[in-house]
Amino acid sequence: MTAHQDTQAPSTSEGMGLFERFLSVWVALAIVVGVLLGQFAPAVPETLSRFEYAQVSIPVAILIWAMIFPMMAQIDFTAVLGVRRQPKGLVITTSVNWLIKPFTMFAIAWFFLMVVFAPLIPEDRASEYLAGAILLGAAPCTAMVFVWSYLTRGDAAYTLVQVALNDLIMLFAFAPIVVFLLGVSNIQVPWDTVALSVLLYIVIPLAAGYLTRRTLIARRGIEWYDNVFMKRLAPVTPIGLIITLVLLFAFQGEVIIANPLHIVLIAIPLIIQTFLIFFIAYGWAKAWKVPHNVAAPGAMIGASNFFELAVAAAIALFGLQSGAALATVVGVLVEVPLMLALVRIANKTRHHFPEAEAPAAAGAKG
Amino acid sequence: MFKHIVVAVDFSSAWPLLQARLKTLTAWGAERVTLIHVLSTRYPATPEETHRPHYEAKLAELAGDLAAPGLTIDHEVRSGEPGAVLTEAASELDADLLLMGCRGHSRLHEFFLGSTALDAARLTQQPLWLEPVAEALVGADSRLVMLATDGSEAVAGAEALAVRLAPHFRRRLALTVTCASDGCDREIADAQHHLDAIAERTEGLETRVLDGDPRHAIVEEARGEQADLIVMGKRGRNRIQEFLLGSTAEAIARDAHCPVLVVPGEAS
Repeated sequence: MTAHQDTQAPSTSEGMGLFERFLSVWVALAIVVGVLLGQFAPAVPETLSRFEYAQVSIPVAILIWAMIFPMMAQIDFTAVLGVRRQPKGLVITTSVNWLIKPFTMFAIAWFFLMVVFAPLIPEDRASEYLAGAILLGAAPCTAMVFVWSYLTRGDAAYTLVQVALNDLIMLFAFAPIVVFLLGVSNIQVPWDTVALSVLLYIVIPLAAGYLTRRTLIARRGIEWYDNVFMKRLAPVTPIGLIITLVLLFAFQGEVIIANPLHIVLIAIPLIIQTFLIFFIAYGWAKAWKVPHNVAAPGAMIGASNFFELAVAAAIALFGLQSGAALATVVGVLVEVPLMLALVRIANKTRHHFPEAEAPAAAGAKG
Repeated sequence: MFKHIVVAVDFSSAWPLLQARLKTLTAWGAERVTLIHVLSTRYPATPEETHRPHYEAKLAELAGDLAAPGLTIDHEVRSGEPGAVLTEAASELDADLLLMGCRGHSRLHEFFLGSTALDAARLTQQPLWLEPVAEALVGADSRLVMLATDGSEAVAGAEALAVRLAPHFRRRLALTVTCASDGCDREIADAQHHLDAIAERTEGLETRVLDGDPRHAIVEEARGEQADLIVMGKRGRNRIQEFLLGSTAEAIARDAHCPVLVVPGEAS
């Protein structure tokens, strides 16, 4: 039996939970709370930032694991065995994610931040913003893409295979791409620092998630794992994300107050990049006659970012006070409105694509 | 009564309670039951697509347990935002009732993870039966059915359904919450007049006009009277009002000790 398919897409407000629907609002509130905390109670973030081990901030590491571990614990990496499913969709999205997107992100961000906005942003700050954009471009979306897939009536099984494949590729490709593009931008980051970030924020959560999943399913069963354990663990990700952003903006307060325009300037290349990548993947899928229930989520995966990881890597590599961390948060800020715009485009252009094969008859008679 | 019932199955320990309720409801003349399990896509959830065959097999087992002469049992696994998927499925399958469990969650939990039952109360286009699965004293009794109405057109479907349900219960009570204090004689008279009109169609219906906030008054009255079911309409609110205030149906479903049957205006 296959996933339920229906050409009538759900409305965005009905198809999203309160947290993700208003993510931009919560991020904006986190900015306000963080800036106020930094201004009126600076001892709080300063004290937290002192807890370090081997130059890794322990509170930040805990928050980042809180964000990423539940996602990794929920992805069944054996899904990659279904890689033969929808091969055209997998070829398109994997190519776009790893061979095109990081480089277009670098090119667009460099052009706007280092050239067009040069009179508005000091060069050293612009370089940091460029670094943040590079980190966003090198990490394809893992969790929220399932919401976009659902809203476009995407094939959930294909989406899972693509995400699992991307996360496994990310283990090996994230660090070389980031180091290469940062090097091209004359931003020197030692290899061992990048390697440590990948180890801490990709390898460890992924391995811990995989082992947790395997062990608990073996001991307690699928239903307990999905419907009890994961339901208890799931709120940890959004809570971790919001606390991380508050802490981050407690350090960024002065920059935000002095240069609020920077947020808009950073957002411009990120928005252009998102639309460009979406249309590359979507157009490619149309040229290859890929069904809409694969083309739409494939293009969404291509366009959206693993912002939780980008925030984590920016903090680890450049610090909470850095422009790179600020740029990755702008990525979070614009993610939902941008992706909802793409969802609407995808739903309105559905008729240009072949329909998916009819699902098998659901249900059994008892 | 309800010819086709769609049941939300979440494989929690609450299933026996839901199953007991389903038994009562099917005994009232159901011809078809559809069991649906939803693989959630709500952030940060990943729909457990690799577990789909497992859940299909488990649903088939449950369907086997429910088998009865003259009753068709279907089952399916869908993926998406659970509240939206379930209400959409009930509409698409032209169900007469959507039955689901309702747990009391903290506001923090609801904010970050949402509540499938409360989302369904907001979105449903079909009558929705919310069974409080966290309530230890819940039973499958049919002693008192309590209709909460404000007399508006939006609750006409609830009133009609309550009238049809009444013969299945030993006691029937209809109430309106309005300004019932001094100086509100007109409101009280109008409310009583409307309740009397329902009583003419319902044998042995008791009526009551209460004062206060409907969300609290209805829950308190139901608790005091040990109601076994609250039937209520769902007023159309715009999305901003729903976000800021929440709907009355949501609030009552959250706090009620007994099942709540939410009936949209259009349903009858």
